[in-house]
Amino acid sequence: MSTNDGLGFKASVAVRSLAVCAAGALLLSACSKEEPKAPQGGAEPKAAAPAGPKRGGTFVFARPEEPATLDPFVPNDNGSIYAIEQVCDSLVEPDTTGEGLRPGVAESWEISEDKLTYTFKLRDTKFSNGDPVTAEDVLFSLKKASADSAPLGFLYAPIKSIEAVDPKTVKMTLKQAYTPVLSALSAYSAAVVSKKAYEAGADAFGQKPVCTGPFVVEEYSRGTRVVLAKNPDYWEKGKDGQSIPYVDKVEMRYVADSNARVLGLKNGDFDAIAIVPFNQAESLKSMPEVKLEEAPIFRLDYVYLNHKAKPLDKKELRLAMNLAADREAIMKVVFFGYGKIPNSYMPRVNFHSDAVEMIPYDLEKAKEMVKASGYKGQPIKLMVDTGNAPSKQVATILQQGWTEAGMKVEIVEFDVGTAFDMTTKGNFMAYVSYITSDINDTDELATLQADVRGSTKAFFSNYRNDEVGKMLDAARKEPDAGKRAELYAKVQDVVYHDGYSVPLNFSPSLNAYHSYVDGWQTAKNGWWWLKDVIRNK
Amino acid sequence: MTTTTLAPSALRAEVARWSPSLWIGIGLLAFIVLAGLFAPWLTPYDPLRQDYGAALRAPDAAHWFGTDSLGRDLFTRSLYAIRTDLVIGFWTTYVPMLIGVLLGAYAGLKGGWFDAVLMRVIDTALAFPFLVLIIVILAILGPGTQNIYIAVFLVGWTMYARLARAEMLVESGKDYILAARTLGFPTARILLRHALPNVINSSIVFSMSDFVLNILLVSGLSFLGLGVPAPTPEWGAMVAEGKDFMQQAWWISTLPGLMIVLTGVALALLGDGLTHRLGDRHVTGH
Amino acid sequence: MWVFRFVGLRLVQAVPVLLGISLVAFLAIHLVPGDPVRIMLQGRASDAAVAEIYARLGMDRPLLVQYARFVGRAVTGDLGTSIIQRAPVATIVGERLVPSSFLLVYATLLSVLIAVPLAVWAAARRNRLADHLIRLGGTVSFAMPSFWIGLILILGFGLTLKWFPIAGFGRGFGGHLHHLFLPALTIALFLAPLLIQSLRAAMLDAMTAEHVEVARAKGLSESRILFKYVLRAASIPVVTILAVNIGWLVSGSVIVESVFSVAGLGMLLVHAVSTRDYPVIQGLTLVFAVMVIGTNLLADLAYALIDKRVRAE
Repeated sequence: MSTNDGLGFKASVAVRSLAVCAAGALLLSACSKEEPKAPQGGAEPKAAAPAGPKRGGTFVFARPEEPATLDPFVPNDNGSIYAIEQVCDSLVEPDTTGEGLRPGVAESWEISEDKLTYTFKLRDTKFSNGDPVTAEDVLFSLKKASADSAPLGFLYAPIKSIEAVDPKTVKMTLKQAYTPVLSALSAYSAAVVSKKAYEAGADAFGQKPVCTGPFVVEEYSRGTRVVLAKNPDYWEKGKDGQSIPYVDKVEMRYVADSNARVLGLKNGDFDAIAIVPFNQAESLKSMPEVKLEEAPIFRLDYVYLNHKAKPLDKKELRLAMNLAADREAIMKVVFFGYGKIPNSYMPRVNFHSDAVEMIPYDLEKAKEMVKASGYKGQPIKLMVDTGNAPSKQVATILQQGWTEAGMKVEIVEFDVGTAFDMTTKGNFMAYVSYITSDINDTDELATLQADVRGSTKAFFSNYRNDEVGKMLDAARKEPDAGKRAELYAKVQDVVYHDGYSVPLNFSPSLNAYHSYVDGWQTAKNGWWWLKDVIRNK
Repeated sequence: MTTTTLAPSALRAEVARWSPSLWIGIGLLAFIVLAGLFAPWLTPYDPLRQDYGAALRAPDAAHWFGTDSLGRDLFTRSLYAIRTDLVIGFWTTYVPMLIGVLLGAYAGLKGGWFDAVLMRVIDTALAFPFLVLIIVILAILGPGTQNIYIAVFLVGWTMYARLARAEMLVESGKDYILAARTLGFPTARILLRHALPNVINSSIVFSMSDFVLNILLVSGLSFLGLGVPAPTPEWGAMVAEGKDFMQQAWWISTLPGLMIVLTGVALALLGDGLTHRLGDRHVTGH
Repeated sequence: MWVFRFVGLRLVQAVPVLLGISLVAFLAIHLVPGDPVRIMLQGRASDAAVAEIYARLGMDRPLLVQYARFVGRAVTGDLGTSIIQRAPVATIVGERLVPSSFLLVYATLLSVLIAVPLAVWAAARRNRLADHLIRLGGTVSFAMPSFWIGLILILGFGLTLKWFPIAGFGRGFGGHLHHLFLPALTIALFLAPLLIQSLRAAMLDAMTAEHVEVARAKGLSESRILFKYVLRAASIPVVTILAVNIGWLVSGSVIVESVFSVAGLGMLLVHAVSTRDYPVIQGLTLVFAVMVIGTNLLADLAYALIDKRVRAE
């Protein structure tokens, strides 16, 4: 059975975040404008305590998603991606928070004046099979990453050529200036793999990848668990100046059932669990030996609306749907108070404005708007993913409000795959879902979601507002951050009040761990860095 | 020919032959059907009406089965679900029975290639675990009530066809069939007018346990998320909705499930009683 | 050497059914409305990638050729490749076979353990209170949905008493026994009533059989008679009941595995349906059906071993 968790959307998470980065990259060439930062850790001025952080132990960690494969050039589901992040490094890596970038397999890089040539200096590090990392491996990996069949292949389309200057130096030339290229290279799908090991057999590689990341796969049992062992050759140093990871092993269990995860944590079978269902958070909070992490991530839960599907082409009706959406009830009943009622059509990333006025819950006004829209009782089909209990609850609450406002609503269920397929093909009316971004820049999602000129037709909404398009173009050219913020705030206001969608919640990621665990952190992109975890037990 | 009208005395004689389990079964089932029919008068609540202030209430005098996470009264929903489950259970039992008995009896009477082909089709269908076959068909068609009907209609008739065929093979050697054949009656007429009343008994007996199995099937599919869509009250879906709240609200899953058990017991007792009344025959499930 | 002839004969008899099964499994992927590959890839693959998968699956050839290839491969144990999991279906299914088989055998043993004493008791106390109670219990047990019973067991023995784990397969033989106890009990609770019913009937028949009467006349104690003659005679219906109901047992395990998150074939099926992993669905359809036929064959064989007269047929 698919997961019934608060965040039980399996494959689609990644699908959507990919699309975000993808379309962003294709349309406006800006996937992340962060400058590379120095590696985290090690830079703390504090005098090293004599004992230092505790090392060793096996960290047992339960999560609802199962990796389909650990071959970085294949998957697009979080089950796989989050596991690959622990095992395979790319040239550039996201930093601990997920908001910036840091060096990975590339120790450093230089960017030419015209921003067309990037020269990467490779770190003197080894693959898990003991072979040194060479330019040849990087070339091989990036070729696989940019293949048509690769999950993020299109991200690397602006790359003209990659060549080996010497065994430890790689030069990359772009077709045109493409600021987000470093961000693109930090993706899991651009992992640097051992050419020799991969060519020996991709299927075997998918079970035991040979990479340079902090962990090495020791055991891969499909459907139950993945056991990771510390990579003794990993380059990064911890607080004590020794190489990390701190723990010897990580046992990543696949536990789809949320009751079983929570119970396992309480019983001490697990040191940590990912994705605590919102309804069980309270019971964990009351336990002193357990810590609950409420991690803000770049995510907005919302109802996709297809503006091309009658009667949703009428702005009045879309606004009525917003006015009759009892978000307080949804926040209480579905999210148990976790998150924030949104005043935007997109996740809270850097240029988010809190000043945009929220659409209130007002049934009387909604009734007027329904009348004003000329609605004639056409059934509104509200789509949810099969087996996703929270989505179903959301739909049921919306149905009640919309029905009271005078609309006729039918809830239809499809499995995630079919539902998303129907959405991409424009074959839907309203869909309870969400969007995530792995990039901390408003530009991508604003453009992706609100600019109908893009390949996804304003993220499948067919939303059309020429004024918004102009503002987005201006914001992209604007060098001044203050003025950009103003423009994006205006876009947020206009799009949100055009009834672009029915936003529901800026929902966080809830995770829990025992208090003897240190260094647990969920990045804003959704995954956790197990290399930094310390098990004080 | 069977008697079609029952004189009061005959009726009394008939009733006198009913076993206690038949009595209890009929009584329970009547009770359940009436509760479903008169649900709106039996409870002050609306099965779809959400009341967020009253969410996750434990069972008490106002809410006999408690409330779910949306504050809907679970007793009300369980009563209205009788309409959903019993109706789907009825059609998914008796439409396949009709198809199966006709096909099976015809095959048994006619023999030849039709019989051979039909038997191979039946053997094939029965080689699959029933639920697996239904799930695979739903994987092709997509979930939902309508597709459950299609899936069960496609597969469910096979057991009845096998039963009816076996009965027909016995029947077809009997004098009245031979006589009808000698008189040159068309096969269809022999089948419908003469043989059918005599071959349908074992199917009727089997249909009672099949009814139970079909209610379990529909609620099971809804539990897996492949069945009746929200917010229609349905027992299996209600049990599934409570799964995430087991540690806070045990009643959401457990109490609606009792309704399934009650209905199942009623039908099983009825079936038991019918078996004794119509003659002892061993019938097994899917 | 009658065993080989017996098995060979039964296999030959099974050929038409096996062909029918393979046809159903084959069609499972071809009857999908729309483009199954695009649905599997969730509509985000390039045309080239779709074409490549079509070629890899051989779906660009005529249907009849595809069917012949499908059967030819299936015979050699090749069930195709999962698009979602990027691994041979035979491997994926093989990994899931162990927990499922363990569960089925465990559940069968548990239900025999429950059913035999109760059936003996019911038969010995025929039409007395114990007999009636056991039969009523069986009726109730039969009507209980396994997903509901599973949740009740989780609530009682898992969440409240914490005696048993509520999910997973566990490690090592002891771990499996511990983890799968509640799921096996759930299955046993709907299998045992059937066993009790037929065991009871068979024992009542056997108790009045001639050789038993003779033994009784010779002065053998009732308990010796029970164990020496009656139980042996009654073991045949047990084998038959188990074989006849293997399909039903497997159906039950699909739901039970989902309730208890046991990574077996049933959970794989539900998961494959929700991710539209058609090659896996296809492979599982085949494997499930072969399991049923294989079990029936084994039951026939066991039957023949117990009762020599069957061999002559």
